[in-house]
Amino acid sequence: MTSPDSINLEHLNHDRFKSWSFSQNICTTCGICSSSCPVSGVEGFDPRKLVRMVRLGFEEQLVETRWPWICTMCGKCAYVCPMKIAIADIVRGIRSLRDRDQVPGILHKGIDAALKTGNNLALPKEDYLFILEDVAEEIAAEPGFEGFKVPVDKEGANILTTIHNKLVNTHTEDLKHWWKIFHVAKEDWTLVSENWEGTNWGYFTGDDTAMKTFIGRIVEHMEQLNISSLMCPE
Amino acid sequence: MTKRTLIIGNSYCALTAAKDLCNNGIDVILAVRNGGCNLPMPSDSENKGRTSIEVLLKAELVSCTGTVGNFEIILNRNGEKVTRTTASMIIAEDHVSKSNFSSYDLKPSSGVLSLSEVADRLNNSTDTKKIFAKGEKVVFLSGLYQESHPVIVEKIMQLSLIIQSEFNMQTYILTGNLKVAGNGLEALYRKSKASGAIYLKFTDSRPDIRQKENGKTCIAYRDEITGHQFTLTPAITIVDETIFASDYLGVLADILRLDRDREGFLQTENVHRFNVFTNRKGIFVAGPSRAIQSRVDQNIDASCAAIANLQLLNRDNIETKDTAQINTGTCVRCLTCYRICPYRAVIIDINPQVIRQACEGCGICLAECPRHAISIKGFDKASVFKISSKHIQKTKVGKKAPYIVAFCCSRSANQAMELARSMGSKLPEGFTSFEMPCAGSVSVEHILAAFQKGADGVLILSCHTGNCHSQYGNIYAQRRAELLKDTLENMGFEQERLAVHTLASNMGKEFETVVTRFEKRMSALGSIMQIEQKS
Repeated sequence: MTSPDSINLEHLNHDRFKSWSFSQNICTTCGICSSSCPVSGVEGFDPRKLVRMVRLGFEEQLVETRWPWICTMCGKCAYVCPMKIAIADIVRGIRSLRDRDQVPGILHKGIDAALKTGNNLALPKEDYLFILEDVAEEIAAEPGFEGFKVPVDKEGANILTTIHNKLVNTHTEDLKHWWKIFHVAKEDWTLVSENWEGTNWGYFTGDDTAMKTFIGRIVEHMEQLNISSLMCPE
Repeated sequence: MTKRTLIIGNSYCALTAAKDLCNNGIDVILAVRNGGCNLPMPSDSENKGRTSIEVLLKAELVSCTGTVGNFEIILNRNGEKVTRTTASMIIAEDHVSKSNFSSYDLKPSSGVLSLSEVADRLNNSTDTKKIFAKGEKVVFLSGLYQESHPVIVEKIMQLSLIIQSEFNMQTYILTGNLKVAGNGLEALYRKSKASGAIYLKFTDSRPDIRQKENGKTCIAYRDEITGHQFTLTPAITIVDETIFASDYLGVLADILRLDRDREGFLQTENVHRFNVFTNRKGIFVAGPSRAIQSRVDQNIDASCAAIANLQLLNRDNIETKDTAQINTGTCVRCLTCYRICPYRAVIIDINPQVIRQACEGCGICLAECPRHAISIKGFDKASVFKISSKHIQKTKVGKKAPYIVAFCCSRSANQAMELARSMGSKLPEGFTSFEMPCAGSVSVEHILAAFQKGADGVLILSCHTGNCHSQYGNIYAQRRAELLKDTLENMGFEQERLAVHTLASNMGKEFETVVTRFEKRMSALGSIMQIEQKS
């Protein structure tokens, strides 16, 4: 009756994730999460299964499987869950359990780069500033925006904005929209020259230490430059 | 009428009803057959000396004569004959739980226990330490081979909660359909899950449960959600139970002549009996004697029974106005009336007699009596002749409209007709109706009298199946009509000239439809007089 690969249920530590306050224990296994999930079925991923495995205490398997990294943490499952289980938070919790060097490539490298250089791309400061000025010049060439300049490290500005690394890499056009709005609205705003990264991969990978470091940098900027408002276009 | 009530039963419901009645000025006799010794009996201080409570333990009902207002009862209390009189009775005997060991192919042992046994042991604190050791695993088996009941599921969840939180043991609940459709059960389910109980649900598969030599179980199963194969070897396996009506209810039903349902509870599925009424006036049934009920529902039932009982006992006159009467000169004591009276209102003395307090005037006896010895004011067949003659004079002369006679039950069809009229429905020209106390009181003679007076068609309009206040009235009507249809055919008339339909009191529109359609059909068949002339 017992198949050779069967697991002794009692050997699992059902209390392994007890401290998580994501309501994972009250799952009624209804499966609405699975039917709402946009990546359900990719490599066999199934949010209901994942919640069940968390409940039973399958730590090793959950850390090893690619499921938590296939999930985009969009949160649709949690939105439809009748028991209000925070499934996306559970996924983040599982992501946090991997050794950092086991975190999928780009995310792992990006965090390393951000910790060392202040941005996920490891873009040197000179290149970054050059790109900003270049974009500003293009705006200044447009009618109505003559003399446009991009403010950097401006003390006492009203708003500080951070930058998503993609915007100074491949999507520079997207910078222009909100810069122009600031200009027309006569907003007193600024960017910073260092530690400007606004995309917190510490958050997505479940790396709380890195996440706090990145947020700490933004707080530091605001304190040093005496700025009260933050716009994080993420 | 003496303000005293006999309560029969060993349930919390019985006790609650007793306390409720005492607090409302009714003297109570509480007769407990067995069990019940650990029930908290009402104390004198609770009663404040206003009324008397007499508790008779180990007392079983032996006989009952008399009627509502004055029942004379005999109880056997531990071999001693006890005689009492009471105005009314409430029956609230607890149901019994039987463990489902055999359906799991398990035998009770130190490692395999029944739900009730565990509940009992948890009440006894010294005993519990012996069976519940910290760190051990406990398995509950619930509804895997027969559908469970919310009352049992509630018990399982409560026990799991206690074992999980007070003894710090991991509980697994292996369950089929988990029945949580009851008061507060969803919340309890949530609480039990949050406490750490793990529910293993089986829909397509069943766990393989084996009992080892040491009496403990070894369970293998495939988790239907993760697909993993698991094994479990719990220290204790707790087997669920099935709830049955107490055998005592059968004894009570025989002595008190009460109707029972298929499960043996003392209440048939009839809306008029809800929620605490039986077929006998002055005998109420509550809680676990009428259905499987949780403690919460039993408390509600106890109060409902107490209220219904108070309403009855506070009435100045409990006699029915127009009751059946037996003409002793014609009666041959065949006892048909005694057997068929749904309210058990006929007693056998030298001659059968109708008890005015118990009779509800349904007239089923009147229609069934082979000697036509029973009458109820205004409902004999002579009245059909009288009204019909008048009606024929008014409508029949020189007109071709079919003459239709409808016998309408006063509780349903007659009200539906009034509703139809008040809504402005136009009923056929040749239509006339007789209000009858119950469709069961429409005798063969009534129907034949209508035909004799020239009716082209006769309708019997009764309550829906299961809705008859007298339980079987509509069935009797149906049966008589079926028999009579054959006779009609033999006489050369079409069977369709006699029809039975069921209607509820709120079906005015449907009443109109039924009558209109019937009239159309009768028009097509033509006048009954032509048939008579032909033959």
